[in-house]
Amino acid sequence: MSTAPATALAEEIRTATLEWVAELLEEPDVELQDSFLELGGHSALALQLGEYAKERFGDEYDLLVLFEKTLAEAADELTARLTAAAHPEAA
Amino acid sequence: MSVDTDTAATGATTGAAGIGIASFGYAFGEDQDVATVAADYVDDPERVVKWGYRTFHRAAAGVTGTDLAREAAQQALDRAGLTADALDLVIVATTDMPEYSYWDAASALARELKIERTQTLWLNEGCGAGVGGLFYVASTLALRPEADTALFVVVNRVSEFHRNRMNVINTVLSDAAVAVVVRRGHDGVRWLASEQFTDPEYSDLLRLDFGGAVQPLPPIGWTAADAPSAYDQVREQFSGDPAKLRKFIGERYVRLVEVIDAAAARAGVDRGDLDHVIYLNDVPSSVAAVATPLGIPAERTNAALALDHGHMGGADQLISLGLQIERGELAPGDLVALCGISTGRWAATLIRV
Repeated sequence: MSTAPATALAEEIRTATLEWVAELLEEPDVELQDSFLELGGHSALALQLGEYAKERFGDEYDLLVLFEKTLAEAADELTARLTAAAHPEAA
Repeated sequence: MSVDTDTAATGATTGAAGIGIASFGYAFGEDQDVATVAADYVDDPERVVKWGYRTFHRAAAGVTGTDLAREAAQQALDRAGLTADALDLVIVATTDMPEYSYWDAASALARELKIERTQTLWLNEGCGAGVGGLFYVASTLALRPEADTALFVVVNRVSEFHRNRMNVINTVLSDAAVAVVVRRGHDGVRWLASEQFTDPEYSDLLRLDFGGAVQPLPPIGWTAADAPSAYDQVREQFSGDPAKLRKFIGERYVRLVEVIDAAAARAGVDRGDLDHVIYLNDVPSSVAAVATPLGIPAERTNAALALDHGHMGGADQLISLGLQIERGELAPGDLVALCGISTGRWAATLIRV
């Protein structure tokens, strides 16, 4: 289970993830601990979700994480990659 | 079986150009309400309901794929005003578990239709068979100028022993058959071109490990209810390599456009000429993922119709084509791309209504 986001970017990605999943799945009550697949998500929607993320944040979700873990974990994994890319010396 | 000399000459010199679908026939399992029965198949029925399917078809116990194929075939023959002895060719595609081993579904259907002798071909592959199979109809007629009438049947009869119809892929698997009578010289619903290619890397993606020669029997206690879903198998195949998974999922759609473009080139048309796209009966967003890059809106696809039938394997595309013509959703002259994916095989056929 993911911990609370430590940065503004993490918070922003989590919030965007919830908004996008709610929109794509037409499901208003999405929560961070939900699973994309269990909400009715599938590969075509995962691609759309990834495109949204790439357009706004510059990279897509890891689909293995998106399919296997919670939305929070998918969002946080994306945050971690973006942070590492922005600060490679810290990696 | 008589052949007009001019028509035969045309067929011989220009391949199978000049063949068209003279009639459609259908057979469906009993209608089932998805929301009502989903809990019989999965522990999380709300996930299935979210896909949007309203109805699927489930054949009654004892109704075989050959039964469905015969019913569809007979309707197509009746609608064409033909009897089975007019058939020069019978091709059957089955897209779920065959009824028997050491057996031939095309021969079995020919016998059911009381045909004494004809040429047959059985295609046993995945859900693109109803699209790619038309190539074998066209190519056979092209190479046999004396033949002028073919029956092509696609049947999907789910074996619930082997498959959980609500936990294989993100569709509800459905039982149905479609038959088309294809005639040389028929001027409507004309076949223009078929194109297909295979990427063998994905040969095992939906493989069921038992039931064949390597492992004839399932493990003790195995049931379809516990069988891994396609996502489980995808996870296994791409474990630890998200980039490869991303490539695979993206390629599914990109390659459909690619194979449609190839069919269009072969037919001498452009993707911009397309009026309508029919994909397998996937969820609406997947149909859109195919149609949108082609500039085709959702109402010019099978997306809405799919939700009333579920995924009928390789029968989807021809059922949608026939029903949409009969409903007036397709008009004479419309250019339609049928497309589909089998396991690792992408296929497209262009039809001029």
